[in-house]
Amino acid sequence: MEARQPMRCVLTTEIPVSRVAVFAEMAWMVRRPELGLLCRTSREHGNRITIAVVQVALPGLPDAGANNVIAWCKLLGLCDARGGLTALGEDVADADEAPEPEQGVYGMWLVQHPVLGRRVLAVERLASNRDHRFESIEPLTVDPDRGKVFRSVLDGKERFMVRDLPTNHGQPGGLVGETRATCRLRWTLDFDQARDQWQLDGVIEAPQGNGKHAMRPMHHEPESDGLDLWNLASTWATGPLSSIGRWQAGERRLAVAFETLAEAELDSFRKTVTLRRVEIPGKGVYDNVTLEDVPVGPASAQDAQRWAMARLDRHLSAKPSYRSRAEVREQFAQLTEDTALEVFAPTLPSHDDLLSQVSKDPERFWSLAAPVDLSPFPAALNELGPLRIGSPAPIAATEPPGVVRVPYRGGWSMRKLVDRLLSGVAPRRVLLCDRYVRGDDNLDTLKLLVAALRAAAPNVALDVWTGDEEADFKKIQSITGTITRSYREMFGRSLPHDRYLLVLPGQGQGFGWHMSNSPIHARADVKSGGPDTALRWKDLMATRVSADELEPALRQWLAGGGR
Amino acid sequence: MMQGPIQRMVCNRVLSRADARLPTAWIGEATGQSAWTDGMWLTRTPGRTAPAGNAPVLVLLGSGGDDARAALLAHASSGARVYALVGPGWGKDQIDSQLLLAPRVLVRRIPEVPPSAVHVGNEARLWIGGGFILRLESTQAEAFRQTFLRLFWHEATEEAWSGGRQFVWRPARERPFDVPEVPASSSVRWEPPDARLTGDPRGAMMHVTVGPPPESAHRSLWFPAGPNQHERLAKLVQAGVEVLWSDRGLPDFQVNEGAGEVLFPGTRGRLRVRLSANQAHEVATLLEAQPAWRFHVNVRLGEAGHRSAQFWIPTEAAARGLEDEQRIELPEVPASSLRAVPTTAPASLPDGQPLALAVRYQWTVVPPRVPTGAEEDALVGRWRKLDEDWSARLARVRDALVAAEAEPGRIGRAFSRLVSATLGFERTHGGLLARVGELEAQRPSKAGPSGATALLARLGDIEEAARKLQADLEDTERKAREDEEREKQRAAWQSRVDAANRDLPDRRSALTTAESRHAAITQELRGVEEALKSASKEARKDLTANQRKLSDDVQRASKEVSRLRAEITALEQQAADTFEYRPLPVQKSRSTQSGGRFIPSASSSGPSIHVPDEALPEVGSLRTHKGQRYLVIQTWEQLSSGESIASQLPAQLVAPENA
Repeated sequence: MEARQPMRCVLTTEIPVSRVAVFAEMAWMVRRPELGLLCRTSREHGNRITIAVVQVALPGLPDAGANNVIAWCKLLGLCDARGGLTALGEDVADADEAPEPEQGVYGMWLVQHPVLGRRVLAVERLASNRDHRFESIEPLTVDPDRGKVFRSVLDGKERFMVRDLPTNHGQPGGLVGETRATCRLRWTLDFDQARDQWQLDGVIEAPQGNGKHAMRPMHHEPESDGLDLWNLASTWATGPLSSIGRWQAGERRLAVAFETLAEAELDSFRKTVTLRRVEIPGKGVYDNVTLEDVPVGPASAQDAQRWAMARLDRHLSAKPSYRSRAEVREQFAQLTEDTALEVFAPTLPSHDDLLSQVSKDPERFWSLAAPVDLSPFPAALNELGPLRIGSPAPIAATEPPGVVRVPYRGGWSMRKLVDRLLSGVAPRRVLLCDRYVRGDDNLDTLKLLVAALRAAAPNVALDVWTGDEEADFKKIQSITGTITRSYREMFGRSLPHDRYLLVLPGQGQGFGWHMSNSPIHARADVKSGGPDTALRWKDLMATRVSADELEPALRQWLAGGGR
Repeated sequence: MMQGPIQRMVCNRVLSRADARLPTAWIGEATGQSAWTDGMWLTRTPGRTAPAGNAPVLVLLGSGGDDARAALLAHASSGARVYALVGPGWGKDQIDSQLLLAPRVLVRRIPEVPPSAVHVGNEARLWIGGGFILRLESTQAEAFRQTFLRLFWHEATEEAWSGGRQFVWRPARERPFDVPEVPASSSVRWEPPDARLTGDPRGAMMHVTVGPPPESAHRSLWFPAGPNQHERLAKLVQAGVEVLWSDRGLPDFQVNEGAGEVLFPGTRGRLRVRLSANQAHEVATLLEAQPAWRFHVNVRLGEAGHRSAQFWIPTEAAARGLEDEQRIELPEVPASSLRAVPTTAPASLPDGQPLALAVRYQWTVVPPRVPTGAEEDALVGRWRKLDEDWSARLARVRDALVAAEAEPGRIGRAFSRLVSATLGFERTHGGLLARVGELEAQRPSKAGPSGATALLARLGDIEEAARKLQADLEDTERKAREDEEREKQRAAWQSRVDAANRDLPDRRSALTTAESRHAAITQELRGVEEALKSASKEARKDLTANQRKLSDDVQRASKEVSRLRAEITALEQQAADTFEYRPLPVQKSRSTQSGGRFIPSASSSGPSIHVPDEALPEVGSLRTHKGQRYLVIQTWEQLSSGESIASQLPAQLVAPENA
């Protein structure tokens, strides 16, 4: 599985700021714990503020007094006419802060956008005077929302609300002032997390006293709009995304042509696209939106095949080395299985075809040709043939003596492999020599191997020799019950490349299996599988070898040392 | 009898070694060209290369790799994939352009490539050396392939491939899998460098090129002829093993009835190939050809058959033939004495080289020589001093005599009455000169201690006679001079007496006159004085003046009387004086030297002269060094007399320093 990057985009838009001086009825949120207690008590009593609720919160208060409290709460807007707790009342319950009304002339910085509404960014109290500039009063371009608590972008602790804008003609007006404030909306849509978050940033005038101001950056805590993002993606799929690929809503993936993919996108299965204009219904239109890490997959089997081969090519180029046919097959499977390519069953070409494809690149040519030409164990014909991902490999009618071959997707159980490898002997001790006994999946399969061995010989001991890197020896020992040895301890600098399974019978000569792959790379499709559970295998060929064909450390183990 | 200058002497001696024996030796025998014909498994012709088809071609390019390289190129040109293993130095000095241009050749360097070999399909051929090719059977070919794979994947250090402008070498990439170790039972196997031939030695033929010879007794052993391992080979020969050698460039072999093995040389590993019966048979046929060398023990040099043979004996870097006469230059030998020079020889003579039929020794005898820094002996100095004194004294005598030669004539001319006496002096003078001339012809050092003393005595006599002659001459002259002076003084006395007698009468009459005049004046004066007593003032004045005048006159008359009386007295004494001779003062210039001016001063030192009590040697020169006295002679002719003198001095008889 590829590491998933979240599909996301950031919508940005500049919002104009207007500055006015206006006569208004305001309220500042101030600490009122008794009202907070009252509102919280109300929550516990049906979200209503009643005489009984008031008397619970304020014991001993007579009914008349309770009615006065309720009337005050209504006046402040904590409850409606029937005593129902309002959103403001909920806020008071949470914050222990309640509005404290006042009237006067105020300087306000106002913005308006579908996402954030008609919002007061900051407010300052102004001294009223008799300058008689009535002719300068203009209608407000942004009429701020009433009764909504705003938080100042200059001081995050300051909260306030506009209760009313008194006017003679029902048309709010004020003196429009000049401002150099800027405000930008950044709206991040994280599709994989199903979360949106918007935030304002910019600069704004901050009062310095004596009517002077200085520009200060805005501070705004992110807020969420609660969009249904995947629904939005489906909406875009028919619009701006349609020119890039076909949106597959079920897979939440964009099916694209191979040619449209950049190098890195081949491996990430994510594509970053730029959309000239997108619309979020009811939330505005945004230009030049970069939609990052959109999950992508092949649009066709042909694209999948080309994509798979391109991935293989990149993988082989990234770390040039000699690759056995088994390793090439394993890598091809690894690069395609559990990806968007698997469903299209891409095919690794036969060895000869692969050589033909790379004939112009001598280094690649030899890296593939030499391991096959100079293999100590001849590859089976079907191994040199094409490998179709997801399809079980053909099973050879007969294998030569001393060879056990687990075909790709052959459906073998661990028990079946162990029976073949034990060759009918009752093992006293078995050694698994594998550099990569690590990772939860491998350790799960190791448990299956132990179980299969114990099913064959209940008292068998399994030794494990593995590399130090990232290995958790304690976990391995908890599975095997024996002490795990490190490669460095057992082999020094002459580390083996392949995996070995050595069998020491209760009686008779020990022997070994030289394996092209590890038995613990098999995977169970079901949880809590057992030794007889059919597993998903990659290729594995085991060749029986005698003691004197083994490396000295392994030979020594068979002779009784190194345990 | 030696003659001429004393020098170093070169000596020779010749010893025959015809009966000398060599304990062990390889003896090379002339052999004809081996008439080898290719067998089924062992050939000298590369043969045709089987087409590779799709099979990869595995090539070892080791020693004798030209044919293997040709096979490689042939396979590569036909399109086969070729994998070649080469040594670490391959391609470093020059590029194999043909191989570079060949398609599909992957070359890997390994630390050491034992033989050259080509493996295609189920066939393999090994170039075993000497141009021989061993064709492998199918099981051998498979075992060879496994060995090749092990070397290719586990031992390679660098790699490159053909098809470019040059071989671009890079570190060999990691292997993609492990190649199992080749089992010990495999017919072809890469083994450690100390691997040795195995198998049953009984009746076997063994060909060993690396390491020591076996200890077990084979039927025959081919072992490289050379200087080493003779002791062990000798034991094998004594145990009945035929030890032979022909350098065919072959590796180690052991073949027996129906079996055999080849072990290729190597410093990092050795390739062992176990032979089939057929292969072993053909190898045995190859070995049975006439050898070039045969190992022998107890070999007599003088055998006629050995005259043209080559011998390789222990410690010799190369084989060589017999040497008719070996010339051995020996170090210089110092002679104990000059007499012993002709017979001096080294204390011991080294052995000749083992292959010499005769040895000529040559050495140089160095005569005893005066040490460097030796100085002249003191005796020589003393004699030289004596001779120098001798010559100086003789010279002084001669000079004195020569200077006195005119004296008698001068005296005779000055004193005529001495003429007859001077004739005698002249005869004496002539005799002394003759005697001086005789002594001048001799040297004290020549005369030896006793003769020198006599000579010195004679010299003393001559010096004495010369002094006497001188003294006589001076005495005679002095007497003549005194007589002449006495006569002169007498004549002067007589003249003075005569003059006094002649003047006395006058002086006496003059005295009488003066006395009278004095009395008269005295009288007159008295008168005046009387007159004055009574004279008047005016008269007094005149009388006083007269008185004063008369007083003066009286004084003058008195003085005259006195003077005359003195004269008369003197004359009377002169007339009465007697004659007395007054000798002349001694002339200092002639009397300061004792013995007179002709007398050599040496005569006075005669008693202090010391005559050495040893005579100078008649031959050679006498020198000394660190208290040792040396008599140095120059020629052999001086040897006998030198020995006699040296024994007398005593001194060591030696040759000059540069002899």
